[in-house]
Amino acid sequence: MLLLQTVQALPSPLHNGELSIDAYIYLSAILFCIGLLGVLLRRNVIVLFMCIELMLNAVNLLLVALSNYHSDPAGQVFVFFVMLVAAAEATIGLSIVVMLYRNIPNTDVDIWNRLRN
Amino acid sequence: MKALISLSALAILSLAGEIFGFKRQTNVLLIIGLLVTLVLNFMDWNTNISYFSNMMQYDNFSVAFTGAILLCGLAVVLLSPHFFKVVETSESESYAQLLFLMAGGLLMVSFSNLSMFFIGIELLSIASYILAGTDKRNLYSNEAALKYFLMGAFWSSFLLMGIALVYAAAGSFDLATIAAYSTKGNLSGYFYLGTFFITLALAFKVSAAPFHFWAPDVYDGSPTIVTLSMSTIVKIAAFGAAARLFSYALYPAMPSMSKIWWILTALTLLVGSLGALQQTSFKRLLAYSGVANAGYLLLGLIAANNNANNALLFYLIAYSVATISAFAVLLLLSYKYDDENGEHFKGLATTSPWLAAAVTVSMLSLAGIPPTAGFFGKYYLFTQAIAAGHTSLVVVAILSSIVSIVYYFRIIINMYIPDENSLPTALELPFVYKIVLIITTITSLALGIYPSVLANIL
Amino acid sequence: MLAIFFYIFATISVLSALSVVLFRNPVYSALGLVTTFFAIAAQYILLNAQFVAAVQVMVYAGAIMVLFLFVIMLLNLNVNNEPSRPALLQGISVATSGGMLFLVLLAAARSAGSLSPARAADNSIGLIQTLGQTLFNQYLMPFEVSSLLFLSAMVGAVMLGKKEYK
Repeated sequence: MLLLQTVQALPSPLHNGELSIDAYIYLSAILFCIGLLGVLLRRNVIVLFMCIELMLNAVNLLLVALSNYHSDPAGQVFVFFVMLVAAAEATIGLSIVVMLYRNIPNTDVDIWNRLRN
Repeated sequence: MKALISLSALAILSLAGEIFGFKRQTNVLLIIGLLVTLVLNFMDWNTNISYFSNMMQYDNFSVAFTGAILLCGLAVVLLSPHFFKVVETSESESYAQLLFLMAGGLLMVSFSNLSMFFIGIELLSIASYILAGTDKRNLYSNEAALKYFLMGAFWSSFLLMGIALVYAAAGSFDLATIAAYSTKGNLSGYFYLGTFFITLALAFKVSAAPFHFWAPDVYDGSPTIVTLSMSTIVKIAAFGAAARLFSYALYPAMPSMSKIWWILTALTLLVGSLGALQQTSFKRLLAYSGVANAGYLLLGLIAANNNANNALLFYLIAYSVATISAFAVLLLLSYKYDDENGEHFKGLATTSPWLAAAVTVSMLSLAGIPPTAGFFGKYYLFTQAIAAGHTSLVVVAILSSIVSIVYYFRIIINMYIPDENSLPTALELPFVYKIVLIITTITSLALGIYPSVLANIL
Repeated sequence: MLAIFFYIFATISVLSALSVVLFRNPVYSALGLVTTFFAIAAQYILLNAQFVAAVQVMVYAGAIMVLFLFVIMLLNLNVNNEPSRPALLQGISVATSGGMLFLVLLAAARSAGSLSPARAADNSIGLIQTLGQTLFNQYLMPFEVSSLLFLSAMVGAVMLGKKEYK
């Protein structure tokens, strides 16, 4: 609690001139692309969902940094909506997985690719 | 706004039908409710009200696109009861999801803040993921739900990245503020990057190539009635949202992205028509024709102005009307044969000449042959694209529509050649199907003869 | 001084994000993701966004990840038997995401310093009071509409998840 109060009194690294907003954009781009890599590389459905969550988190980080940079609360409010959508998507995604698993007990996405021919 | 409240109330009503046991009346209640919603929607014509600190601007653009969404939704609800008799799914919940989907579509065509846009697109997407998987024990439906969900969630993170980058440059989610920033000139590179990401995500949503791979599988695997709502309601909403976003706020970024748009449009036209040529299943053919039609519609997005939006609306209505009558006949055939192969259209004219006539009009309209709505739809879109200086794209589009004549006419010819495998007696035609087919066929012809009714409404 | 914390947490989040992608066992991936969420929450605190940081820990690390782990355990996926993609596809994946990263970094580097703050600096925007006022005044409508989203997701989860006895 005390730590939080101390941090609250400090201006953010964006406002005391230590970092530019570009640093946050780089970090968020790196996290976003790691998530992208995971989506392309992995075959386990659950891990794919996790990688999508990672991409959404990269965007959240960017939004919070921008909200601080522009001193505009709207960016942080938008983060709530992103979290809400992430929760809804996780619910639907996992119930789709449970439904699929009931028919074919396997979580490899590639076996769900039979319609192509 | 009234339409949004009414749609949400109807969704809750259809859920309540399951609990309080008026499940059998839900369909009738929804038809009445949607008619009321249509009236409420058109009462807002020319009012142009902005709601809740400018979150939603209900202007004529929104009223017109919402009207189109509601009419398609009404057609889907009319055609549903017979479908639910054949495919066992939870009926009330499916209706509720359909109405949520329409509410999402409504938000997508009336937002004036990017947060509303995002929530609208997610509401529409989540409802359509669920609807794609409603036929739970059918593996194809399962695959459709999984594929659509994975792709949708993946691209919605791109959409969000784009929104965040536009926010980085403009410092606001409000469309008017973004427009004020973007017309000022000297734009930050992040603005272009954000617009690029948003374009990619919307290209996925409208099934433009090279992001179309999901479309044939998802359209094919989903229950037919869901495919109908995806290829009409979702398409109208996605193009409405893109038109609104680009023509209200992001248009200054368009000229520097014209190469990307050129590639997207040309590739979509090419992939759509060439893909459709190779299909034997009617449902897959309509999926690929949906991709090709997305290509024509992209022509209307490039210009990003009010006239182009009007052309877009006209084409969307012409396309949806033709698609609804094609799907209505497909549904009838699928009840009879228990599968949805294109082969069953063979010899349809000998036993059911009126059905064959309806399919003929719909195919002519999709191919863009003069006395139908599709011709003027294409004509308006091409004029807008030429006015915006994209003559080379129009040449590609004309070539693609010449190719498209081949596969649409193949179906027409198939119907008029007598076939020994065709049905001995006429197809049983329920009353609502008759009504829907008569209305869609007349609309296709009427818009082809008097295009001026819809040509200058925005 | 605060920049040091930024770099520390940035390193932690990048490493743990990589572990999500590279561990074969889904449970390890999930734990890597939880670590990433905590590192990002720490970044939020540095950015004076305490409330979002708390929500991040509660919603992501608390609710969503528990849901993931629950499904992993329910379906008995706590094994590393995931087949890997062919080497060519792996190469394409790495090239695509690397190319995307390069594109974004290039665009970012070219437009570095082109942004300007929309308002004067203010440390209090991350407080629950400011956020609450914004959410329930200006952003009331998206907040209300998100109830539709949740209703749709809830009904959908029941529709898809329930077993049909016939």
